[in-house]
Amino acid sequence: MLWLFYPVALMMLFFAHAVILSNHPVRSVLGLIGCFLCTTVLWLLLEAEFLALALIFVYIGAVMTLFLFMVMMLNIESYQEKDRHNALSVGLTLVVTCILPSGVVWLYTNPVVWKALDLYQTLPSLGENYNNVTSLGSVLYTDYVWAFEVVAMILLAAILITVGLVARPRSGSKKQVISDQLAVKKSERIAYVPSKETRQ
Amino acid sequence: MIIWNYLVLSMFIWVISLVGMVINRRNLINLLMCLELLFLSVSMNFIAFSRFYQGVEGQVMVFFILAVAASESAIALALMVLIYRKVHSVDTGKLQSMYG
Repeated sequence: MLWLFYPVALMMLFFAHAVILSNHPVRSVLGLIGCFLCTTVLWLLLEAEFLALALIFVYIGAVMTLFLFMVMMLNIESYQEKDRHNALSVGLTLVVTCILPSGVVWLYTNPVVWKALDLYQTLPSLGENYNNVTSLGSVLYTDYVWAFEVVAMILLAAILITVGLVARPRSGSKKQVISDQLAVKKSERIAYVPSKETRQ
Repeated sequence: MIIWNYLVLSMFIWVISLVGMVINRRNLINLLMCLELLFLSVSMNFIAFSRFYQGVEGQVMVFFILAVAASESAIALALMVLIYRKVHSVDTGKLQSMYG
């Protein structure tokens, strides 16, 4: 199954270019979803099953849906004419994104460098009884339990901040504002109504 | 399967997202999407090295990266809604209220 890396990696490069080069935000979001799907396959090849599935559930299921929802809610049309990517900018981008990393790859295929780094050895087998979720959980809930709790607090803070940022106060709410109550003047509350006797 | 493949792929994705940040600097939503792509390439490096050294700590790190990136994008999108309510656009060129 390891040959699967190459087609999936090519697809991922295509989707990544679609993210940055498309002229419509919805297509960019769809390209990003494609990138995450390809990443899931690649992480499954590395036997990181828990994170691969978490990527699908958390990222594609929640975050990318949020992005898509946001793009549609803000009703962002395709870009203005001056902001569109023309053939020149697309070509330049492709050249930069292909040439620049290839240069680094060429640098590191220098035998002196890669023998020092030892990055070409085949990955060792993890064994028959390897269970990704068990090994991850046994570390996550013991050694890293405080970091785990901090992440829980960060997520809670994110919920509160997000709601606090976008929530509008309800119109007609009977909330008590003490400073407004104390700032009331007599003229705003009391009106002189002449009685029948004084009118006559 | 060798780790080198994953390192090269994540480097390509990293460069693509950086170039994307430069060419899409007018649009806040696209900037945020390029940021997600950046996180993805970094996470792929972590996972590849965790498999390389047969330790699970790299995956723990990726778990935290995913959680923090999810909350970051939620808050950023909320801010974007506020900006859109104020200037009716997510164009960074229109955010000029701090100009002297």
